[in-house]
Amino acid sequence: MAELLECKNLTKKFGSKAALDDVTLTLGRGRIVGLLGPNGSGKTTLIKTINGLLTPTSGEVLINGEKPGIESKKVISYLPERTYLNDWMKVKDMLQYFADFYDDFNMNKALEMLERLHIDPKDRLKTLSKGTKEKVQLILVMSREADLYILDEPIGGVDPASRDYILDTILSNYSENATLLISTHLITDIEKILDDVIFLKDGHVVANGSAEDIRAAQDCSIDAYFREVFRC
Amino acid sequence: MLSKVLKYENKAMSRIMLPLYAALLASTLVTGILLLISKVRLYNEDNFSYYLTQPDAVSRILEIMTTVFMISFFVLIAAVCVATFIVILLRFNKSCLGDEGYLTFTLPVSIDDQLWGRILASAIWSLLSLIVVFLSIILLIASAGLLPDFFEGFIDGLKELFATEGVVGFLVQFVCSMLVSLITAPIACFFCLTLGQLIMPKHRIAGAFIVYFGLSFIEQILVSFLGYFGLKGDYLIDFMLENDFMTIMRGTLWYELISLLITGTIFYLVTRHILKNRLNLE
Repeated sequence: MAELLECKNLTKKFGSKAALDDVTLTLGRGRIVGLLGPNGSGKTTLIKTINGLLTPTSGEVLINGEKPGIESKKVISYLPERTYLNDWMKVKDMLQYFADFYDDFNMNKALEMLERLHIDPKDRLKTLSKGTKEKVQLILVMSREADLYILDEPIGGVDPASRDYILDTILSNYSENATLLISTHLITDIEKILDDVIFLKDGHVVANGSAEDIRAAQDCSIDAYFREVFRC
Repeated sequence: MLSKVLKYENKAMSRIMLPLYAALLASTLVTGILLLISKVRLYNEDNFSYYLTQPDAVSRILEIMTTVFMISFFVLIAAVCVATFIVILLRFNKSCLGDEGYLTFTLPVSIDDQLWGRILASAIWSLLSLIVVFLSIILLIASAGLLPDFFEGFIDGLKELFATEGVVGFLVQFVCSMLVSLITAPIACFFCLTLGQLIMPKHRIAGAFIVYFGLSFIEQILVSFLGYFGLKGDYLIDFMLENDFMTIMRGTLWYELISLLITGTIFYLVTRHILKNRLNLE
């Protein structure tokens, strides 16, 4: 069986500037991976390339052994940092939209999570606050039964109280075989749940391994190590 | 998947277009009724000249209301035409090139289905707008009591038309050209927007206008060139002189149809390529 995700010598240039420079990495199944790096380190570029929203300048991305395309989009559940909801729809229309396009969307799970976060499915998305929209979007993404969840800054705009519930939601809502790739710079909040970490700096991978190993080798927390690697 | 894309595009467009259609038809109805009352009250049935030399207050009010509703009727007709165009542009701009593009292009749907769903929805709503505008004009003519005259003229015109030789071929060609342009017009819009965002990512609409004016400029040059070479060989003049009206019309339609198909295909392929390989959502 092919690896879940493989990046081989992946390079993406915008003009002459390389946002990703010769990135090679592999993600296995059933892992929670933190994609960590300061702003402008190439996290979002890498994520957009994996999702087929950007075409690499050179190198390749393979998901289950195939280049990004219809098949990869069926198995990747992606939460971008942008709000992509059709704001004229109601929350329940958006659920139906997901159910129509994704075979792996679990409607009951989505309704359950909405209820827990006190979001009325009959509300119009336009009337929701930015944070609530983020929650809806996260619920949509986590209600899919995907192989790979890619969350780009998933907890940035959410209040700390909901943040705990959301982290909990993320953890309890994916199957054993699925892998979670979470990009963030709020490391302390998620450090305890990470199996692996990838450090990205100026488009290069500067560290890649299990969180446990890095902690042991550096004799400090991931957060402290991050501050050291990316010291300004 | 095409049918699902089409379904949601139709939903998004109907939200704006259906209320406009309803407003236009309602205004047609009110204007029509006012015209009917005016006719009875104000005008001489036979020649439409003023019946009352000294109109009373009620008649004046009626007259003003009729004028106001007539104006609103024409404004709404213009609104339906403009709104159809704007909705097609904005819908594509938002769902493909804006933040919604993050969802649009991560759905397990091929780029061709995404594009064709949008092209077909645009064609459907353009056609519906045409039908609604046509219908409301007929309704108004009917309520003004002009329908028999109108139909008489229309049927006379048809009779004359069908008496001409080669008219069936001409009509088939005409309908084909119209259907093709319903498809190619949204493709051209999408092309301008997509290329526009590529050259000016920060000002997508401005970019689209630049592409549009650039295209018009190139078209002018091409037409001038073709005209120059055509005229040099006296081809065009000979063609005009040697053939009857119907052949000239059909020749023009062929030219239109072929250029629509060629440009439409090029625009589609370029748009598809950019969306697939060169798109960089903000």
